[in-house]
Amino acid sequence: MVAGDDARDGRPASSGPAGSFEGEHPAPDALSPEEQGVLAAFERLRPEGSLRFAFDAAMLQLDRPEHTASTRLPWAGLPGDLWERGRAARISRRFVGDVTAALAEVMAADARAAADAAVSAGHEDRFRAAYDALRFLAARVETLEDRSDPSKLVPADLDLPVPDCSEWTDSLTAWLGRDTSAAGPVVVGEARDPRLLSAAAATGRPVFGIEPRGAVVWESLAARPQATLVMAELSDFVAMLPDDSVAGLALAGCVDRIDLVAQCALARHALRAVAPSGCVVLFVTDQTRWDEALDPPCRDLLPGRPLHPETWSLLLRRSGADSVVWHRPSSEGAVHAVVADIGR
Amino acid sequence: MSTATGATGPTGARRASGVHLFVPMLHRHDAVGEHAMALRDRIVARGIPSRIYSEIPDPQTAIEALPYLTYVDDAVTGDVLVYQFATASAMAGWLAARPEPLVVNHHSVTPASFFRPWNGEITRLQRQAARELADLAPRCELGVAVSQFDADELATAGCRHVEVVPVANVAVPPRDPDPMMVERLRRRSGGAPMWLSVGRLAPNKGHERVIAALLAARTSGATGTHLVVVGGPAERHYAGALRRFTAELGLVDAVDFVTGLDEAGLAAHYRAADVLVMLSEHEGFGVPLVEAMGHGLPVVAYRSGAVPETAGDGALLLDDRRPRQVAMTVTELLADDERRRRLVAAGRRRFADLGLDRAADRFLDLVVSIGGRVSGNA
Repeated sequence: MVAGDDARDGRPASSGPAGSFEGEHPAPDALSPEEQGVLAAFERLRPEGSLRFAFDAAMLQLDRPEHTASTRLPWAGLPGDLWERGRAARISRRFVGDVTAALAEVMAADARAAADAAVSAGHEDRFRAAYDALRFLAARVETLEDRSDPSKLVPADLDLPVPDCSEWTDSLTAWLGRDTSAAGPVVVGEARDPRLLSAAAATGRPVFGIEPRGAVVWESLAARPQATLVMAELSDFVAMLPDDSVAGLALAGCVDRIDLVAQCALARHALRAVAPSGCVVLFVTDQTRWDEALDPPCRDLLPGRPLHPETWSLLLRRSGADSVVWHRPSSEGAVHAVVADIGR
Repeated sequence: MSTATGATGPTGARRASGVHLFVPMLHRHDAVGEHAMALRDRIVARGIPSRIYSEIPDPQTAIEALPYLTYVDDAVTGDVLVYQFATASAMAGWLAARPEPLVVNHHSVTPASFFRPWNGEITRLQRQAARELADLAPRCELGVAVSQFDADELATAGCRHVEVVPVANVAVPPRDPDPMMVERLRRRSGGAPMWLSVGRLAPNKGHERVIAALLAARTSGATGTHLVVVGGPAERHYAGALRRFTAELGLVDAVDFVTGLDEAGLAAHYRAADVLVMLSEHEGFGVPLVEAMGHGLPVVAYRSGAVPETAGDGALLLDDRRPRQVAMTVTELLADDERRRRLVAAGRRRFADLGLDRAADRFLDLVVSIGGRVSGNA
């Protein structure tokens, strides 16, 4: 966590050229909410899987000639059925992680010793197969990671329209507050429009506002809002919520621009995270208005575009919603509301 | 200096003993690499043979360095070997087993903990480096640290004789800047403040803190302020995260990442900037600090590692790195002409007091004194 970062050195505040600060400010670890929010977002950019499974270390060590030269191993092609096995297996982090961890544990600790031992024991073919399998997985992971984020753009990079949900604020309070038996807080994202946060807060429940744009979070937190703001990509945040942990979700913005795979996953995770009797509210920009509003580069580079409300309704029903209602906007409005109720 | 008792060369002439430098990697525009080349040039200027040996070849310095294992054929009785210690290397164990007097020139090892969340391989190497220092320190006849901070590290590792001599690769007086680049940078800032952060893109350097402080400054009224981060991507995950962080904060147009500058280009950045903001958590010396002070650029830096002793009273030192605190300090400094002038003057005095122009000679005097056996023509 970031908050204690500055206290790591354990040095007391001291005077010097900057001595005028002494005693005027809180302790070094007393980061303000907006500072914590922004620095925590940077912490989340640290790599996860590849480090956890020692993947980088394994590949770097194995790619060093001095670690493999003694074995005289050729850079052979993949074993005959490896591709089939890889393709047949469900590609998920767990699969990649487990296989990699098993290989990396043996091979990365001391690649040369492992290679020598394998050769001297007559297991050269098995060692070569394991080695190639690791290389195969490395390439696979890299490809998958690249495909998940080909343009490397982030929302703050693009001049995207903020969905105008103003005509739904009263309704949102009513939807989120109509069944008080659902447990937990309410999550609202993206939180660029404070009116959605206010509408959610009017239910009397604790509110978490999720927003990927750092500058927006910074300014909102500095204004000390009623909601707890978190700087994160909304779809990532929802995916990390525990089952039945929130009373309601109100999702706007990100639902319009993520790709179809992510939209389907968002529907699943949203329904999983909302407690019985709660509801999921999606604010979906009208497809025609979306195309009119966007600059060509944004339209071309974004991974997705808004799904039609009927499509969202179908996805939510298939993902387990009890009932789904599509609310059309007024003639001036450009944002539809799709409300999914979670059964008891 | 005594006469050599060295081996006979190919022509039958007796070869002179020398002071030879060993460095794991010899890179240009790298603090340790430039320091090694500056030392070598100074040693040769005294008429003492000196060669640089490296473990990992770099095409850009191929004519400057020899593979370290070839030293076996070049060795002359009376040689002194100087190891530039900054990272793990197979060279360390090999040097420890050599019979020649060994000097360890210590440049600080960035603790592995900084890399653990980012890069498993570098973490492993840094741990190995710490072990190698523990093996080498008791074996060396002299340890030369670039700061007292590093000297303490050497002494703790078991080195019995430690001296402090600063780095030898800082140009005194500072190099002239590229005037066209200065002009271009000033046009880029358009009169708004330009912050500068110099240092490899590595997790201990704290560039993300400077970026967060920039956000705080821009949202507190200094809207046009922009930041130039100068440094190569020493750790690719961290470097990538910095760029993504910048984008997530909506600062893509306010932060420039620059790498591959020559000396005149780097000098241009020091001249064109309004302030150097250095929030590194671990510094063995802090070359950017002294370069900035030499160029008359005010410095705001986090009090960590060797920064306080290097900066002296020539920089504004912070006891914490909270973005708002940093932003406020920098903004207030830039708004106060008199205070800024005083800080710049103090920085120039500190730059002169460090005696960096004499560092190579001081280093060489120490090395020669340990055995008195090094021969030369001087």
